[in-house]
Amino acid sequence: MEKAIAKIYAVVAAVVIIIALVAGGMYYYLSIPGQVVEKTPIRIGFSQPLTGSLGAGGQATLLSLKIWAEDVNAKGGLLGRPIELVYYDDHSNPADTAAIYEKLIGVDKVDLILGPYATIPTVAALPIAMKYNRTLISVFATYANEAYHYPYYFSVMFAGPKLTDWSIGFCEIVNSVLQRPTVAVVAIANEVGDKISRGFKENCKNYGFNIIYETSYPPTTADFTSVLLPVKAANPDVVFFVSYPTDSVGLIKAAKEIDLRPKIIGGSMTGLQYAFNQLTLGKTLNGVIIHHSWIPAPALMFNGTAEFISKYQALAPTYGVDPLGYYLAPWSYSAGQVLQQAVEATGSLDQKIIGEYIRTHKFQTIVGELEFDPASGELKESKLLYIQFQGLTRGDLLDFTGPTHLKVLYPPKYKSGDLIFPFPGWD
Amino acid sequence: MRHKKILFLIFVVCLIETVAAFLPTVFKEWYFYYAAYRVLYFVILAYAWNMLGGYCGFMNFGVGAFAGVSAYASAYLLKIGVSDFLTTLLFGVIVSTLLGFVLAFCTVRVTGSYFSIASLALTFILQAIILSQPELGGGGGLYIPEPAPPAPYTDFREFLFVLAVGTALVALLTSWKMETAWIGKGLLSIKDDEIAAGTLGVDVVKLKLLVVLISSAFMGFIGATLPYYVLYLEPYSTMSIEVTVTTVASVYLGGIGNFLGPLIGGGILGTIMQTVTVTISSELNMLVVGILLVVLITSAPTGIMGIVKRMQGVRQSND
Amino acid sequence: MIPAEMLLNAFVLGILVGGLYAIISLGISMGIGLLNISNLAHVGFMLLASYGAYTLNAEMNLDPIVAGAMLSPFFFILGYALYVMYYKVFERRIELPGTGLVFLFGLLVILEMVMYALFGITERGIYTYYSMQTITIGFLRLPLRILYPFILCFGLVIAIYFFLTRTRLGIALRGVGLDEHVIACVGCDPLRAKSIIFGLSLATASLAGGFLIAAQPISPYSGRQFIGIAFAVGVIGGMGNIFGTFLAALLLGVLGNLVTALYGSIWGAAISFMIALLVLLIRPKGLLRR
Repeated sequence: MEKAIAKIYAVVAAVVIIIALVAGGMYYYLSIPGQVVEKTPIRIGFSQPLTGSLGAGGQATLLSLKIWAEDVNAKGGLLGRPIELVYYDDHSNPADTAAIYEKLIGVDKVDLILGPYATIPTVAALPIAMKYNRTLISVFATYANEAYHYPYYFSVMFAGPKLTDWSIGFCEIVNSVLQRPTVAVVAIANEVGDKISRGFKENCKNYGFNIIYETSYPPTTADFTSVLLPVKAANPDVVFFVSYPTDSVGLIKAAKEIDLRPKIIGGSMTGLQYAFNQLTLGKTLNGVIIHHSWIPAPALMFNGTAEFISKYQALAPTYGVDPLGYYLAPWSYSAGQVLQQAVEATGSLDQKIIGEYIRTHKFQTIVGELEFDPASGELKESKLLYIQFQGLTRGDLLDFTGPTHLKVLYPPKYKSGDLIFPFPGWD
Repeated sequence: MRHKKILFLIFVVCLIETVAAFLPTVFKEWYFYYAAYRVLYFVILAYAWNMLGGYCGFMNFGVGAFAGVSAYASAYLLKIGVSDFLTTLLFGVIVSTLLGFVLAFCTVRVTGSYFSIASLALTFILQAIILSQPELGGGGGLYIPEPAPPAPYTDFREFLFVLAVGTALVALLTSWKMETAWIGKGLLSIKDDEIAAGTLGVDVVKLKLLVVLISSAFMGFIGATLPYYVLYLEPYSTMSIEVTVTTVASVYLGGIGNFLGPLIGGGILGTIMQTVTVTISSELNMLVVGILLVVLITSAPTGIMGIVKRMQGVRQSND
Repeated sequence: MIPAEMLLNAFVLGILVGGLYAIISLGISMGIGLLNISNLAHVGFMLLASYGAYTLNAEMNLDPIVAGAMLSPFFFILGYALYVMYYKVFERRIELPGTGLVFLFGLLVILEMVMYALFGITERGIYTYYSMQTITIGFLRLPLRILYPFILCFGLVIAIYFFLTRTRLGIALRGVGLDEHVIACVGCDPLRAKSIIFGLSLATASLAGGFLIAAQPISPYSGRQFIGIAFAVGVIGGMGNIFGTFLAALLLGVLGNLVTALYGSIWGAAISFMIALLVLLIRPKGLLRR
């Protein structure tokens, strides 16, 4: 009996030693610095949710950044050195995001970092960036810096620093045709849904809108008819949705099915900017008002925008991302541009110098001029658009390509069409 | 004889924990503690699972729910201002143990597979409950302020690492005790035939309940430390099936029903997964785990320790 | 629409949605009730069929419900083969109970990842001519995408019920679940019988997959939410009890809808599981006896 026990212990000891050796070996191997060659590349590291619930956006961001890196290298690189992207997939899991940034900074020792796509991964990445005093530029994250007020965090995100920025355009549109209307709010029950609906309710108070019904739904909801029945029963003038891609489609479908027909319908509906979903709904989208970040309207074409879009659209099928790339892709690219311009202008890779530069300067990007609010790191001025689908006849890709059927109603300086009011009913 | 074994084991355990406690003062690579905590997280969950699944034959498919609910409980206390680490930990343990009690109570009169599916269903119920409570952050998630680490550590995660090592060792000792003590023998008889065990005087219900509570407590303990690690909780990734699958795979890899199995399995699988995440970055991490699990369960269900024992010619206990 | 009309509409919609729940739960219920195998991978197979229907629709413009039906013979064969393998490996292994369950769990994860690898994370939906059409009866609005599956499910349930209770083959199949050895004595090969049942179970998964993608968009992880529903349905209706499962599914559909209409969909989603746990506590064999 004793001998057997001793043997077991020996086996355990051996296994533990083997694990330690393997782990130690891998660890050592991973931390060997890259070979020093003539033109050492500048390594830019980031984590992206390439799989999991945020995968579609993460993949699009990755593609955009890859195009950006190619563009930079084609013009001679950054500070005369080629840039190299070092990235990992965090599966939309914030615990992995944090570990990845630890590795990127502590082990891979990348020169610069960029943020992941979306709020949840960014919130996980930010404390790591703070710990190592790195400048972090994130893509499409909302208010991640609220709790930390880190000075070198910058959010490339089309809404501005205030929660109300998300919906003020919608409220303006409503206000232009209705006095003190009744409103129903339907929002997804998560971080973004919470915040945007809060901002909307504040706007309603300021405009004197009367909220008569509000509800939220879990993100796994697939059938929205039962969610919308009470909305129809309340018979509001205006319905405002806050939703994520699948839900946005589901909500429109359900609204059509139960014939929910307020005078104005739409909202902050993420997902309806993507071709996949637009094609599913087709002509049904006529009259629906949604937020957007960028469409190829003449007023929104800036330096380099057209080139980027054509490169992106050429590569999109191979990467399995949205074929048109109107919503997220140009903004991801511009995040890279901000970093690039800051480094070039300061001639430095020092995090603090870059960070200070970004805080105090404006940037010309393919989505226009970007300037950051030093207090929060969000964009100083909201670039959020509200568009209305108009005149869709076939509901195919051609209908949704180009600005013809996506009329910008807000802000006034980019306005490209007039509001169709009241909502004409479902096609 | 047994006395000597116990003493030797406890000595080894204390030695390892002491080494672990001193490590952060000399070895300063932050990433190591990060990764190590993640690996130990699964080792501990594997131990907890093994107690119920390996010794009793009840497979808990809601591991994510147990650890997750504890994480939320501890985070909630932090949110309302209770910043004492031990208190939040204790609260997390209590909550998850209560959950185990509820599950056991509900499934006491049905077969083992109901227990499994019910535990799986628990994940969804708890997600829905958390979603509906704005105080828990709802769908928006809960932010946790980073706590100051106790001296002599400079990062809270170093402290978590030491705690995790300690917990894993305690879990190991508990498993060993379960295997060898009279509880162990009573439990194994349940696995074979619950009804027969009952007629022989083994108080089936009480034993089952006891093990469920111990298992839940361990899951709760390590779950309660999670908020201190990620600093942000949201209901979808915190309580997910991936946690369960990884835990189960760890147990079967190491060897089910053996007090060393979870350590080996959790250690190997956890290390592999952590490495894969940050090197190859394969999105198919879960595919690897799934295939590993299926292959293991089909061809080598007794895992590494099972093979070891067979090689030694030690007679495999009939579990 | 005044609240009474709204509730009535919610009620009717609940019944329709319940049809979808029924067809999903039926396969799992058959597995547990007749074969004592908790097939966690069932929803994975269902999603596989959904993606199959999606592909057929994309390539040949086939209606998803038709596609799901066309794929069901393949799924039957797959189920048959899978069960034979499962039986040989796990049913024999009395010394390690529960490993079969773990196997199926692992299988579910593999299926999800394979679908993910093939189709990506983007939600896939099918736009058929009836995708947004409704039938209006008075103030009731019934979406066709849920109505059609319901009618078909109802028919299917009746068909399966009659098969299992009125035909000789069906009765023999049910019998094998009760006592394998007795059946063997009367000349029926228990393994074959069981494999047929499992094959049937997977065939219903294929049909369910077609219905699912006709009703709503899917992603590789869409199946998970149905595990809870199927379990709740099985517990309440009684595993293996065909009509019980159907009625329980309708009940849960209605309940979920009514709760959603009155209290919001967050509670609506949780209500079914809570009831399931309650039933487990009070009447583990289900509310509706055979």
